[in-house]
Amino acid sequence: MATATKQKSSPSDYKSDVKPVWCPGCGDYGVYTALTNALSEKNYSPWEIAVISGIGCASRTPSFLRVYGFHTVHGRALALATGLKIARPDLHVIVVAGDGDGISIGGGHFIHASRRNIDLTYIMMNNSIYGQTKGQASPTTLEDAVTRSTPYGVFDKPLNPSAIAVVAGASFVARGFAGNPKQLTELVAKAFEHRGFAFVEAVSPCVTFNNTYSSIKSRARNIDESHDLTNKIEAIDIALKENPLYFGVLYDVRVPTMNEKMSTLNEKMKGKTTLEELLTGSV
Amino acid sequence: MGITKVVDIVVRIAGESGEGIITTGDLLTYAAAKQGLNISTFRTYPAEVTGGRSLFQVRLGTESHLSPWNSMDVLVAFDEEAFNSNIESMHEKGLVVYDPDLHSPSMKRGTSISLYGLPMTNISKEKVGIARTKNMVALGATANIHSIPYANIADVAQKRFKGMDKATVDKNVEAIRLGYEHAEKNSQIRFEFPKVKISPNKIFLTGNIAIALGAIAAGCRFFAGYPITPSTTILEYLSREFPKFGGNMFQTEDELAALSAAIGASYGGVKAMTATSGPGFSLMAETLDLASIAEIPVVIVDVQRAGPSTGMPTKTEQGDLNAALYQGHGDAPRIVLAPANVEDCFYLTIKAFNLAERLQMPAIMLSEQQLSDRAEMIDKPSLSRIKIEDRLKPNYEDVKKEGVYKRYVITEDGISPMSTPGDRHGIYISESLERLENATFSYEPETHKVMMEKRFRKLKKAENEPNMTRIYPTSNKKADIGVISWGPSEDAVIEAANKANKQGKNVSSLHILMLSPLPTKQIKPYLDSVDKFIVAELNQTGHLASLLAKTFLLESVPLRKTTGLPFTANEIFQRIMEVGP
Repeated sequence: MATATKQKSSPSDYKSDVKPVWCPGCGDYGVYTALTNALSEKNYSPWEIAVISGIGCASRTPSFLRVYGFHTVHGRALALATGLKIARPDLHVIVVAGDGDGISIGGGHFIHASRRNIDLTYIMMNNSIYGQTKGQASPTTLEDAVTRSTPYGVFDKPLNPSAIAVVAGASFVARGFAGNPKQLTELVAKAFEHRGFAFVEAVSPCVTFNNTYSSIKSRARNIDESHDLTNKIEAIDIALKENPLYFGVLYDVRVPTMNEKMSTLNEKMKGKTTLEELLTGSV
Repeated sequence: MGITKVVDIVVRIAGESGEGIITTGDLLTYAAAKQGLNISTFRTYPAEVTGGRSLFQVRLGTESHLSPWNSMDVLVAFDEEAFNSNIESMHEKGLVVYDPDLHSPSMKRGTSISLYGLPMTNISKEKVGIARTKNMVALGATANIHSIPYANIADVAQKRFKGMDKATVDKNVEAIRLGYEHAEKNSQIRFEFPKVKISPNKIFLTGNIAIALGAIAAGCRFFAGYPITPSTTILEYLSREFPKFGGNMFQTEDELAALSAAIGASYGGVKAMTATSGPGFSLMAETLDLASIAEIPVVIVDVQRAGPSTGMPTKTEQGDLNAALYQGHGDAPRIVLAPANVEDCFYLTIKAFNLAERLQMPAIMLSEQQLSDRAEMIDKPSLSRIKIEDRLKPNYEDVKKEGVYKRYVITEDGISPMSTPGDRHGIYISESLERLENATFSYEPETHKVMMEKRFRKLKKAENEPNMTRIYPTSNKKADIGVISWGPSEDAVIEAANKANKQGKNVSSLHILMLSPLPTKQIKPYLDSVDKFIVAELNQTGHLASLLAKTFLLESVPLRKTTGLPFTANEIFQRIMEVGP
């Protein structure tokens, strides 16, 4: 917990000695900057932070941070982080993953973490490609795109992570861009402040296999101030638009979190039985 | 009216699912247990929610540790199909209770099986006025036949129906009374047990509940699970009781999430468990590996059922040992324990947590469908005598001197102190990749070799764990035949060996509770003490036999059963007689 005499941290306090392994120009550097800036802004103690990731380029992030964390297996970061946050509601739990990890193999967990409103921040670095394995299509790759696994073009329609998050029940949904780290920092900091499941889609182009920087920059627009942050349908509508491509906070409501419900329940039920009592055994 | 004095009787109640057969069996069992009798139940019910056949069997006796059954002494057949499918397993001097309005049993010539016609359908419909009380009529009659005082059976039923409206309860109790009176007047046979001293220190418990209670006793305060037969009762029990202990549980979206969440909680310093059956356990292969390489304590309960794949969800089998020992790609060390009875379910769960904490690796508890809802009277556990182990924690003074916390520091026993998130000087990123001592990922050849050895070296800290085998020797120095088993077959093996020895054979038996690490120091002397040995297991390819063969380079005599039913003592006895000198 922050005290009056707590020193103000700087972003480098949250960086480990391990140099990031990403290609020069990778969007993930922008997200890394935004993440460490936001942590510094909130002045969290490094030992009270846990960054959980899956597998992929984005998921390498924890190793470059001086925090607790877990580089887990493909697609399961949210599930593991949910267990951690339930057991340790006192920790700042942040999940980072790519679009492949997050919405392909991890798709099921994404939907359920959203509906559970577990109090953590989920940053999905969306580059619409599988970078780690060198260029296959991801569920957010555009239809007809030619990739290493779809030489004749993608047959499927792309998924929209932000829209899905809103529909599934996430209580905070925002979209940022690695090419706009200032805005992304604000969004991540807001996500940290949010009580409940805070989803940040960080569009983070892969310079090596799917360089969409100029395409995104040309389509980027900020969500209008007039947008009602509590309006789900409006949020989905904005999220689904490809051109312009909207950035900013899409949806933000305050509803009871999974942790609050569990802690209320436990308060109510505390001490209502003992092990001795349960070991009397009856039909 | 003949009174037959007995010390051991097997009662089977069978009929269409939905007719309340399990309730009848439960109440009969509980009333008998309250009288001081030992019990062992076996039940089978269809995989579907309605329809299909249901069966409840209870063995009542004065001996402790009863194996499921050899043959039935009493069959309560709710309908003709129940009679037809079960009559073959009847003891020749048994008693059949049937419904004369539904069928007339045709018996083989020369049989001395007694028949008692109980018009349970008619009594429930016409006299009670509620057809659904048919099972209570059967209960009353069966209780009478077994000399259970009416007051006892009515009392047990009243307690079970607490919460229902008074009119319904009264109708049910009336049905019991009518059945009881009908049997009093019409049954030619009555069974009577000797008066047994009621031990105040025994409690009535079923396998799955014992596991849940063992987890709470061990300090587990996190559970994540997905419903799957026959493990679901563990999830449901903890959903009700955990909040009272400050524990947290939730139903996950699938088994992949269940084990992942448990690993997350344990990483956070809270003892965690999940429970599943075969198909769910297969899904956990990758995350099991993760817990192993990241060195995270976690307990996984696999209540085995007949497989492979969907198999037979409500039937028993021991087909997951290979999966428990080996599943997950690569070499990932883990602990595997297998309870033999309800008491083991309680204590071995605690052991699973302790070993998981000590070795910082996943521990798998292999229970089984036949044990999941088996009821037994066990000695009430003495909580003050239970020892709890916690993971080794870092000495932060040393860490501060070193200047860096090395989560995976190489030690002689392979165990590295494990920090807890929140510890100021214990920061590290837990890894699924291979790593250096300070947890940074590494692909160096020497690193992988050293870390692999470290992870396996930890197993040595459990391989000499006491009481991980139970040996039943003969009075001779060497036995001609040994019978080795794992899981709930132990009682049937003991009974079979005793029977063979009474007939002049020289048979000993060994029961194994820990399969990984295998307690070789306890097993080797046993193998030296027998000329040949049978390995009895409920699976197709002899999982334990293979493990013993590769460990000790010894061949065994196989005894394998894959009908979805437990071993009977007779089946094992017959094999012993075939094999022996």
